[in-house]
Amino acid sequence: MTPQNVQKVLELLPADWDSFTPESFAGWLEEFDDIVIRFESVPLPTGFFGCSFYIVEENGKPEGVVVVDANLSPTHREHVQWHELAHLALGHRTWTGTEVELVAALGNPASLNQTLNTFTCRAPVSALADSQRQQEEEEAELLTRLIAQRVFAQRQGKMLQRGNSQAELDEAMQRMGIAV
Amino acid sequence: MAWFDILMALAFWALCISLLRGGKSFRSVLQDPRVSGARMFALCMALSLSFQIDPFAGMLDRALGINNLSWLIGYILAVCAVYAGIFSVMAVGAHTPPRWLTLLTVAVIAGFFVLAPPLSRTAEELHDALPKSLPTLLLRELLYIYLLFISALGFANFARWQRHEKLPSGKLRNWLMMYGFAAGFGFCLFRGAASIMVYANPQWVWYDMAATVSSMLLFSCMTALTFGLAPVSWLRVPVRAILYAKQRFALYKLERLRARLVPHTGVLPWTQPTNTERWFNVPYALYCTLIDILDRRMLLLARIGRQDDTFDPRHQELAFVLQTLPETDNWIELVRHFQRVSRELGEEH
Repeated sequence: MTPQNVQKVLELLPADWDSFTPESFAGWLEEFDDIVIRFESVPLPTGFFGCSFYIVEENGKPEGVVVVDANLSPTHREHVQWHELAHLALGHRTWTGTEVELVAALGNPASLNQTLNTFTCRAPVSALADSQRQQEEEEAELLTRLIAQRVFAQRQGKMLQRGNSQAELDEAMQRMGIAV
Repeated sequence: MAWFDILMALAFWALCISLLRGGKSFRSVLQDPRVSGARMFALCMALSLSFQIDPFAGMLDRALGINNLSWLIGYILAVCAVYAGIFSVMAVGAHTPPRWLTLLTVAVIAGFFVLAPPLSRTAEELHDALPKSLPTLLLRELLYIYLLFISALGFANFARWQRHEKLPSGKLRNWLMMYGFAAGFGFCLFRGAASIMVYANPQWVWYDMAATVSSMLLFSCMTALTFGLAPVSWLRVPVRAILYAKQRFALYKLERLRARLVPHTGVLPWTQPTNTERWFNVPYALYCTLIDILDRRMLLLARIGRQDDTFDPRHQELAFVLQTLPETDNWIELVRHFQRVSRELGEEH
């Protein structure tokens, strides 16, 4: 069964799934939470696919930072971006601090894994600190997959909808790799 | 009462009405052989099937006082319908049926007329029963032989078009038509042979099975030809069916690849698609499996990078195969890539 908080976010999200991308998800979050979202791509330690946290500076809007491992392939990267945005949308607890504090926290490579455990991170079980984190991971991934499900259902439905012309059907068949 | 026969006749009457309803003038219809052929096909077939519905066919024969007249009228109309159908279909490619087919059609109709006197002297036979007399057997066999030629010609015609077709929807239509004609050929062969066998030996035990197989062939023939000739919007049905089959096959391949990765990469915390989703929401299950493979690929490559001692050469080989990925943001491309990887690994072991 889908947890209530996941279901609630899913209902609030705009229903235009066909054009739903990490950028549009971020745009919706910016409007809904009155924050600014920034995407970063940096090499992360083994087992960490991505993480997210907040930068709060004086006299400025809070900034949600979504970090994705730079070694990921484009599809994987997009999925991890969705996952990290799902953490922010679900209001999961994560690290919050200033840019200076962030640099200091990440400055020591020896304690990097421990530092990352204070962030919401997409990582396998062994890398997660506690059961609370594991539950949050499951929720964020569930929301991500439910979003993906709606995106694909709508895209496939649009490609093969009633009233399509011959040219549209041909294009859909080519895109879906249907060759007889 | 033969409900299947009634339904078939009703379906053709519906087709006939929908084709005749078009707002084209009579002259323009006559000038377009595709439209006139299709209308003639639907009308003759609807009439033919209506004449063969038991017990109305028997009632008509008794009213006119000629035994088995409904057989004769029904079969002549069926031959006319099939000829008009093939005429219409070939006109799509600006061709006309070969002269030998026209001669064969005339010869078959002449053959039916030759059989008319012995048929009228034979006791009334039901359309939905085994052949009991030689004239009705010959009548059936003549029709089956004619349909065999038509099926072969139709198949060859669409096979030729298929070689030159570029558009995917055109290829699909040609494939449906080829399948339909092949099934029609099988139907005539099975039903024709079974009718002879059961006439020669009424105790022949395989008749029911042969009749079932031939009925299934006839049904698939009709379905394929209907979708092959249907409007564009109807083509979505076979497209969806093919897409589903392709996605299920891709899921099977990807799940095999994932199963190879699980022992080396451990448990991942995310929930996996349920069995219901694997059957009824295949794109979603496929995407989840793809992401799972991408996660495990990264973990495996990281272990290789760490020079983990517990690694044996087989794992290194697996990691090597997975190392290179096509640089694409289209996840369907990735699914195809992993399908190839899974196939290669399957062939090696």
